[in-house]
Amino acid sequence: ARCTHMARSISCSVQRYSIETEPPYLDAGGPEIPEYSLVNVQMKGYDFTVLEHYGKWVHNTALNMGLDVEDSWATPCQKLLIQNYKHKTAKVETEYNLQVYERTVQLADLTSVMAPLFIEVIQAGLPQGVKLTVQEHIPEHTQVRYIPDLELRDLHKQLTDLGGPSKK
Amino acid sequence: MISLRNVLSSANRFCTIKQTGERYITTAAAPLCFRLTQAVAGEPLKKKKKLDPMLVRHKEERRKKKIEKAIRRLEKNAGQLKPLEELEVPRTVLQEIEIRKRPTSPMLEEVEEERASLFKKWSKYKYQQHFTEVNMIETIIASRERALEELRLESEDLWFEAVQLDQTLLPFTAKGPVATPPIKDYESPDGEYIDKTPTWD
Repeated sequence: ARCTHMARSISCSVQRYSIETEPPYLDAGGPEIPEYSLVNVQMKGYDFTVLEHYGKWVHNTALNMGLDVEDSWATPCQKLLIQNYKHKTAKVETEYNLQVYERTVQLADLTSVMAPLFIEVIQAGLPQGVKLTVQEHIPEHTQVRYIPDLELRDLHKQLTDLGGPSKK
Repeated sequence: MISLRNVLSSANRFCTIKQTGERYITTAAAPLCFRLTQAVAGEPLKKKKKLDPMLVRHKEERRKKKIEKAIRRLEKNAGQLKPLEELEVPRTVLQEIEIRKRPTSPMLEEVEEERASLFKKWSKYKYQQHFTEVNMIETIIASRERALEELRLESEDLWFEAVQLDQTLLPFTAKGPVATPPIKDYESPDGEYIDKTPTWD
């Protein structure tokens, strides 16, 4: 009987190396197609269930299209007190307490070729009552989510009063 | 008028005003101009020590470094996120949770089978939906890639221009469709929107 699994030619006895790390200079020139570094897709609406489902769908669509989803979060809602005045007077007729909820999906490295297609797909699935905004990332978007630290703010103020941080 | 002359008869020779007819002897060349003032009983003012500017700078730098250290310490504890109302169980429900619990009866077989078949139909439907979406997107991407390839072969400059970032694209806004068309000659009521979001300032 032929022991095929034991018979090895000289070429098979050479050790095979698989490249685990690539040299850095290959990617040093930057991407061929320009990209937006961080893009925030913000969805706002009064109806929470519709908004939540839409947010999940947007997230899934981005993953299916091969886009890099960096982060996705919910910002605290905006509470509105809406007053209806009686006809031609300033007397309050009815009052409503409504909340505007918000969801955000953050994409990283969105290529210029992919961006318009993604936005079109998102827009096609936009449900009623939801407002969509796609913009580049600003630190304010994430700062809004945190409770402001008063001590930290005071310390920063003291530092600026003394004349800026110490130069090192 | 009280003057030194009147108080002390021998102080005549110290006073500048000379009365005619009186003689006094003094060996001083210039008049001794004495002046009486109220008792001050105070020290002469201390001279302000001129602080070495280097020391001043050192002091300020030390203070700044202290503040920066405190800032770094506070920043290390990552800030607290504002609580999301929509994702929290309302407190009234949490208090009533014991009352709200209900005993569940075992499910009937027919109900279970019906639910299983419904679940299968629903997953089939959703799969079809997902499949059509993904197919559509993939065909669009494929045709776009082909077009870009052809353009590149045609002219490198045109391809480069086509691939540039569109500055007018972001920020992009869109509103969802509405269920009914706008009502004709509708008078919208007058009113106000007051923002009552809690600020943690």
